[in-house]
Amino acid sequence: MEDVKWLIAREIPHLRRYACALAGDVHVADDLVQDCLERALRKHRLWTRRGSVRSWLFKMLYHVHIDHVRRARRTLSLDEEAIEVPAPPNQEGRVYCLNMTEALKRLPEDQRATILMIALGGMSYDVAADALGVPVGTVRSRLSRGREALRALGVGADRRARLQRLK
Amino acid sequence: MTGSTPHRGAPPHLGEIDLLAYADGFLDGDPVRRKAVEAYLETRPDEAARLQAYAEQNEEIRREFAHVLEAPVPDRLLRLVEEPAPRRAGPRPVWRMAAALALMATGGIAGWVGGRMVDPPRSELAAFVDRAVTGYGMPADTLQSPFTIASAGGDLPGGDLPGGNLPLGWLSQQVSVNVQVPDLTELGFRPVDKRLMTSDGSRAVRIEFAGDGGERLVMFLGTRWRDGRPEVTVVEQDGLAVAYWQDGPLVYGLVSDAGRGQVDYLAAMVAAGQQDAIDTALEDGPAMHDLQMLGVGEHARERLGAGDAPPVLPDRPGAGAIEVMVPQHN
Repeated sequence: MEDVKWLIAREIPHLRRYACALAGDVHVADDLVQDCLERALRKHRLWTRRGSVRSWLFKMLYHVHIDHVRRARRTLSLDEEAIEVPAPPNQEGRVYCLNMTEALKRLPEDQRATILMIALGGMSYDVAADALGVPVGTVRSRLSRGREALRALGVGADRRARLQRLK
Repeated sequence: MTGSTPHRGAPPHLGEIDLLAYADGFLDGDPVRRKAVEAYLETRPDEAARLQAYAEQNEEIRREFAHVLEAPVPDRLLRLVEEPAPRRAGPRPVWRMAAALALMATGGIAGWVGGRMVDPPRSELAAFVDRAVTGYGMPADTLQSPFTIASAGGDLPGGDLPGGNLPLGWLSQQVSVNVQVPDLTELGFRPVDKRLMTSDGSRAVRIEFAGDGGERLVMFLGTRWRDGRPEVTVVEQDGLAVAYWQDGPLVYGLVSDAGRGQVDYLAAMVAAGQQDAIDTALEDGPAMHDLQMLGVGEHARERLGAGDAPPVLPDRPGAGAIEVMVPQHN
């Protein structure tokens, strides 16, 4: 148990970072991480060494987050939620650019969780698929759609290019 | 195979997943495929820009949240893993449940808040509450004979039951879930009696706890399929507070003269703990199949010989009027 606890403790900063990006709020994130850790410590015997402690914890954190979201918005359909389209450039001709936190908030839950699991969890597609409980093909399509949406929202390399054009 | 899905004119052996993997740096260990992607991108600047943007997004995400990784971990999180675990964790679930209870107070017995159960089986729940109140005061000799506690070795009645998560062998047989008597010793209640109870053709397990201050607390369990997280409802009837909730295949009732606030609190504790036990049983795998099979009437009745048990319809929440399916006890 002590060894597993040690492994779990080493993941807390990573869990906080993932939760913060997922929830968009550091206080909510710490609540999620607390729930996740409580669950993990109650269920540590279920970690069967089939995968890494990190992927096991990230999976649990994702489920805690989904529970949290569902409690907050009971009718939320995670796969159908529409992306909010950013406002068009305003009259001064400025390009609408969101920072990453704001842009991520505009993505549907499932796309955001998938993109973040790759970017912050450092997980391969198969591990992310297992953690998210979906086939690898679904991970692929969520990544494609989510990242295109982020581009449309003005984050990533295109944003820099657009900013440079403005100069 | 998803890897072979053609995308935007890619050669047949390259798919969108290859392009994504390239952007994510996952092809670094596969130079042949990486070179194939690079060759493909050479003549497609739009695609190259798209993948460049994706890679940049990853970096931007890591930059944006780097401060969280570097920040000290709050004490409340560190304490969870560094101190010996209490039997139950933290006060937060209580407040969450309290908030849920406050919401449900307006719903009362009329139904479950949240819109999941559109047509609440009012009469069934009311009947359950009635039975719970009746069973609370029922003298021991009017109940069916006590059943033994599997592997816990407690002989009943009279002797003290050992405290702490006793396996409920009898109920477990019916639903193939590792149901346990909740451990309330830290809350000042110890189990003193556990019996099978029959009333109006339905059956339930009745577990009696004695409080340190002389209070009596009786918990009832019957089976009933229901998905979703438990929502506890508390009502008062005949001077007793009754908390009831459904969790997976089970319906719980908690009755006491200890006062509504105390019952609220205890129900929240029990619901949180039992949810975890059921989650664990379900995650363990085969139990879930057994559970569903046993939950669906015919097989269960054949196997258990409980010919008079009503059918169970897990796909019709609200209509799945299952009580406990029990072999006759002799």
